[in-house]
Amino acid sequence: MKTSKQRTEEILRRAAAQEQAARVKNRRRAWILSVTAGFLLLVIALNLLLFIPYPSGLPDLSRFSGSEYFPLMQRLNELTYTPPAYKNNFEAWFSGLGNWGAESPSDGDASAESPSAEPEGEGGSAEGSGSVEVTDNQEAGVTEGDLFKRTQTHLFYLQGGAEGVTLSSFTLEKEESALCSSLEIIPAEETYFLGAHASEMYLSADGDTVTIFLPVYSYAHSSLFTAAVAVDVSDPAHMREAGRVYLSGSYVTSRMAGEEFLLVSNFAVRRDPDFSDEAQFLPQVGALDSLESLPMENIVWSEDANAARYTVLCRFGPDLTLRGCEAFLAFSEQVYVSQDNVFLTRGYTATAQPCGEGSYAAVRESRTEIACVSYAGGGLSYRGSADVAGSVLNQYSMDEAENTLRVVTTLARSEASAVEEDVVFSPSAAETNAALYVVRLSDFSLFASLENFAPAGEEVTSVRFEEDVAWVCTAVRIELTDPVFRIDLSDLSHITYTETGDIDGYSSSLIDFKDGTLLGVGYGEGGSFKAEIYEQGGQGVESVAVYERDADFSESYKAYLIDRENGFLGLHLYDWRQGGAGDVYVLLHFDGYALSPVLELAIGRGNPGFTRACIAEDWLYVVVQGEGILAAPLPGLG
Amino acid sequence: MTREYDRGAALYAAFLEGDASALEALVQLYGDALTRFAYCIVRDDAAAEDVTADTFAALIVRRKKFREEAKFRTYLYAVARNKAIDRWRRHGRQCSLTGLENVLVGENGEQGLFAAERSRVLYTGMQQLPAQYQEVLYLSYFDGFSVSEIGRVLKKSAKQVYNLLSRARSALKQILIKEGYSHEDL
Repeated sequence: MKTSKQRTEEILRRAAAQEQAARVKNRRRAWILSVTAGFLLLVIALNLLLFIPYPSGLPDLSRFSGSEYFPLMQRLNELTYTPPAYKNNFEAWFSGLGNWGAESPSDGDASAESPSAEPEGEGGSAEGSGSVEVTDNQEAGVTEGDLFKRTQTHLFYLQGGAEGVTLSSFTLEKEESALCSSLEIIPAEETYFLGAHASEMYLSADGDTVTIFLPVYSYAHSSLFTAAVAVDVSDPAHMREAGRVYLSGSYVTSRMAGEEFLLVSNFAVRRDPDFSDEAQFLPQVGALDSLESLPMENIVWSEDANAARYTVLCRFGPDLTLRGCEAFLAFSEQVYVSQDNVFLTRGYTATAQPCGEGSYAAVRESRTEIACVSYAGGGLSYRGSADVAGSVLNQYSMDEAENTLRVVTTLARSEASAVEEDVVFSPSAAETNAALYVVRLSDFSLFASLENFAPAGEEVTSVRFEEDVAWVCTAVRIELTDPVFRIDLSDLSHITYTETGDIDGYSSSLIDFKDGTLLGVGYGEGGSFKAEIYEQGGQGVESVAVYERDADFSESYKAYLIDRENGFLGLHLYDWRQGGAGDVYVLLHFDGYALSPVLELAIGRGNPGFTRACIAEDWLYVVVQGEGILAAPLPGLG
Repeated sequence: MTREYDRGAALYAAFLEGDASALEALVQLYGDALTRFAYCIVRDDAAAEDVTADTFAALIVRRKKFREEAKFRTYLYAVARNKAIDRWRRHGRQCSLTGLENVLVGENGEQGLFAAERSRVLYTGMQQLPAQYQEVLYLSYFDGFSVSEIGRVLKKSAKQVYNLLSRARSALKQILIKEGYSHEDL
């Protein structure tokens, strides 16, 4: 046995060893704890980074509750809010799509097209000592913009592209007609123009001022605008820009009534707008660096609005001063301007028949809402809207008369699949037809109608209202056959019509023509160009004369020269046949019996939709984009 | 007994204050008894010595200060028991009873507690009992622990200790009778 002393020494040795071991153990424990703590912190950090959910739910707008626009903001907030595509960073990074975050705002939903349809009314009449109207306007007293205007001595022509727009003046000096001068309209800094085809101009009555409307994109605002540019052309040899103003939204159309301009644009509110920046959700007008928002009192909207897009309608004076502005929460497609009102259409689809009620699937139909804004008596005031079945083709499908609006639409329905005898309809097949509606403007109720008057499956291709008559051409476009209808609106309680029956081809434009006839411009058999004269005969609508040619042409109505008094139709054709004439400007003449070419000018290669012509003092003047001016005497027609 | 307890606590306190000789005195005071107690569990003299040395070493490392009412001896034996059980588990549950004679002799040899034949017989007979019975008998008869002290060492209630003692005595009695001791001897 060990002695106490030996035991004590052993005990002390072991104690020292245990203390050393304890120190080592403590250090190791500390190391493990720190590593574990670091790992846990990393895990927590990763979880926070990957799994913290993105903010969802409508943005809070309570800080704007004192703004006059607050109710509108709230509705726009609901309409424009887009929930995040992913719940958190983990989904965003590892779902494989990688498309997270707000999308870039889009403001391109509205078409910037200017209506290219068939006008009605007085064409070629002088509007003063300076300006001579060359555009065939739909409504008397309501001038439409175009690429081409003239005075007694000069022609003005607009052409251009993204880099700029060129206004050219030409002298009207018969065979010595020539370019007088050109003025480059340059986009403002950080903007660019969206194309010449969407630009239009007007000439003041005194012939001293050209006002151009054109669509513009501003990089600084990341938004579309419509620019109004005034050019002093009192001296056509030295034209100069006199002023410029901008309106939010893409250019839809414009008119000149008297000396004032009516301008229509579509302004789309960007997705998830910053409501502290009025430019992102309110239409604005003015200089680009000093735009002002429309007051709330000038904005018409309802809780039923289902799209965050405005139609903006403004009145400008000849000096581009703003004289009135109205905006309502709906975008516009077609615009018709009567002598007192502006009618704006918005097409949509609706459920006409729910599933189960006689069909295997829901039946949907196209419909159109037509809003009415009065500009009579100065100012602008929203009057109300009407809702009709079908879609509206263009401005010529509408006409105001005797406090009613007459509108022709193409009906379209998508029906469920069904087996009827041996015919099986596909679920997506649309049955189309045509209809005419008469709407009271006092309360916008439907007053009279004529539905499904066309052969089943046909759509409206052209319309022309002439007092109590509506001329309508319908067709199955790919089959190139059409009837032309003459609808008698003299007794709205009993609307009747006559027709031509099927005719080869179809008309894309209908024009009231010489001596009460109707001129149809469009396609013939095989897709050739065809111009045809119709009149009401004993057996219905009858073809009187026709001119047909294998050639391409433009459906743009403003590209046609229409001289009703003398029976002239002029347009740019491209004769594509081998050995054919190529690009020519053809002047057709209707002598009461036949429609024949009386003049054919070889012109340079150009877009037929941009070629313009006029007749002055028995001379034909033709302006071709990029080619300048051509002039030729009219042949003696005895 | 009270004097020994007081002396143990006093010696430990003196050691903690820097008196190196106090540790040897403590070892002398409790060394053999602690070893014998540990032997009841580990059944090996060298292992029992290790347990004793580890027990005192643990006291030095922990440097626990006792309050006046605390029992130093109880704490010492509780630590020793834990050390012995740990060792017994680590090295297998063998019941070889190695070095019993050394344990019986102790440091003090023939002058030790187990110098008396009776004590040696009892202690030797106890080694045939389960460890729990050995512990409780040893603490009670050889080291004079009270029931409450035994309960603190073994982490049992007083009632459990009484029951254990009763069963342990009966079992030891049977063993001794088997070995030829009469009732009068017991």
